Amino acid sequence: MNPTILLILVLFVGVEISFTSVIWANVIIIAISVLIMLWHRAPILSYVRLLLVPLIPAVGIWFSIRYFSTAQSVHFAWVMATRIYAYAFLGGLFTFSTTTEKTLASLEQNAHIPSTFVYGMLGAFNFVPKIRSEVKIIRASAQMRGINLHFWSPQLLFKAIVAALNWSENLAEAMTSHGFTENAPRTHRTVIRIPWWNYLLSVVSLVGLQLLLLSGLQ
Amino acid sequence: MSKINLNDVTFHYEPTLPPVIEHQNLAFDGGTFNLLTGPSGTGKSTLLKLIAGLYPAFMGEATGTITVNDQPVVDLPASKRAQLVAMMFQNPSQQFAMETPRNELIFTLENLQVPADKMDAQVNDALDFAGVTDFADRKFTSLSGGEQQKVSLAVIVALNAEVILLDEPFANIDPDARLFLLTQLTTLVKKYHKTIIVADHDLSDYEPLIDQLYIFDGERHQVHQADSGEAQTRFAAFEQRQHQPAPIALPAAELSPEFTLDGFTVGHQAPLINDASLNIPQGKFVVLTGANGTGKSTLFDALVKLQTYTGSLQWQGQEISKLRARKYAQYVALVFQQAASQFLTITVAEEIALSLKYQQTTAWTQSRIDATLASLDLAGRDDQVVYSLSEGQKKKLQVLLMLIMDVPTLLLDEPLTGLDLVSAHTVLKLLRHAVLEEHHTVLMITHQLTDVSQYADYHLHLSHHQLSYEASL
Repeated sequence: MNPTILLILVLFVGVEISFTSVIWANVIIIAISVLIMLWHRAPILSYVRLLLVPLIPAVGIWFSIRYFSTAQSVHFAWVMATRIYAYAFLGGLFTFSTTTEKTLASLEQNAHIPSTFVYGMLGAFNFVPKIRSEVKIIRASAQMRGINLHFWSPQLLFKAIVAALNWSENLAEAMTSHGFTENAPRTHRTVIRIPWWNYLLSVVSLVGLQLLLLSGLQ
Repeated sequence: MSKINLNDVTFHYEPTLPPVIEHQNLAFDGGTFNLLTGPSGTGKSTLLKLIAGLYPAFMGEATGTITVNDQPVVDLPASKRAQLVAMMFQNPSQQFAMETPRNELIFTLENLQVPADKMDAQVNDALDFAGVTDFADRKFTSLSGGEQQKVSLAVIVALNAEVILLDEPFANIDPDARLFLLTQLTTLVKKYHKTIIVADHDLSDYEPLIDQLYIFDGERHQVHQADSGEAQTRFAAFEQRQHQPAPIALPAAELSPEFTLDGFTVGHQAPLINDASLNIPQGKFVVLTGANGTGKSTLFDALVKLQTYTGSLQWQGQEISKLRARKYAQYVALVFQQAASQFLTITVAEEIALSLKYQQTTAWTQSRIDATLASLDLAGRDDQVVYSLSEGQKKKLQVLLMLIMDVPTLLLDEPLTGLDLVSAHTVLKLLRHAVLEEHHTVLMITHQLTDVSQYADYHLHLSHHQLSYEASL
């Protein structure tokens, strides 16, 4: 599916379940997400992570609503707990359906997000491994000058920021000298289109969600 | 009319600092190969960045006008300017925005609004011309400096710019890659009538290739075109200082070792050094050479615990992978290839104060430091931000900072890069002094071999995945 359409769909579903209290809707969203993740062959570890990370907030909110809220509603406790998991798995669904590059390229071409923003983001993502190795080098180099930097040391932060500023300037110069002008028109080697079935699938999914939510109200 | 014209150009980084270029008038003809030379730190990079339109857009203040094809460069949008003036930077790793060479070329062509159906052919032509087809889809982080500069050439070819500026493009490159790039650049001039300006302090191989020599005079903040007499004198003087391998001793077996390699293998994807076994002696000045990308820096990374290895690598009889980094750093320190990695504060004076505070002995006093700063031509820069120093000045400061620390063993990764010959001699003298008078061990990677044999004890060479001592340097 086209990343922009998928992103809008996921956000819409996320917002909608925030305002409703149908447990089944949440559970079905989680199930569909798991199915799609299976389809994309997500590694086992990612399911474990998606189950563990929201565990504390989910259990916490279940207990606070079940025992410490004014209504002490069992139903609402389950709504909140499953909702947290639904959010997490919607995130998982999106992450495994696309890549950062594809999403950004699609946002540029389909959503017409300014190219400065898109390439700024891309630059930032490409920086992450660089920053990691830079931090390692900064710590080693400081040790060689007799200083032991911990990860909370302001000097480490300062150096990392200096390095980032330096890179950002070089990156800007590199992009400019390779012909990049902020928000100027560009051509695209790979034109990203939105196939008709993307719209159909989105509409079907949303209609399905509304029916599910309506049935839950009665 | 000339291709490039500078009309009364003056440039300051800061209004309070002296100008780097003052009242400059200069013209470059189309279809010529031009060489710009001068001591490091005079402003060769600055001049090129001005012509490329990067300055004053990104930094500094300029007056006067610079035109290419009679168009003022500052008025052009980047995509138009890039097609007129392309630039290859000194630091190969910092000139790409994308992850792989192919994506960088596509990004460039997209910026120029090349139609999608013509893109692949242009990308392949550019890759082919620069000889980088084989690693077009590898990540930049896994490419050596020489490979990255070839990619940079590919981008320039794809831009099809009329004017090509190169800022010390061969500083981190082995002779083979350099020769290849020079040949391809000559083709661009002769066959495609491009105008090329190369800033380089190393004049070797240029004489038969270039049409004009320009000399940057740092004292007058001006560039002038050398007439044929002056050019000849310059080249002859450089030729005399050209590197002629001189004999050098081989280490005797009974020397006590500082580092011992035994079945040592290191590399990223494929092994760079494979199953090496030898000793690096204590209290000596050893020079490590080898073509670019062979693994010299990776060996240093392994020696300071920044890189994992297999086999055995020992420091004074102890396995390096088992040593505690913090303690070990008091005995073995690395002068990083990127000078900026070594800096921890902001100004020159603060950096020196920091090294003085943590130095292991009291061998370096303030007066000795002041004298050394003067000999390195760094005096009077106390309040300058270290990151605003030229690459050569950064290198000199970096070496001094680590010498002040007085660590017993110093590894130096290309400390002579970007240094003019006088500065290189000063740095080598300092290192020699550290070995002779303070009994330190020095292991230095360098591509610049001119006169190094006067200072070094042994020559260690890396090629074909193996390390061996050589009898000449």
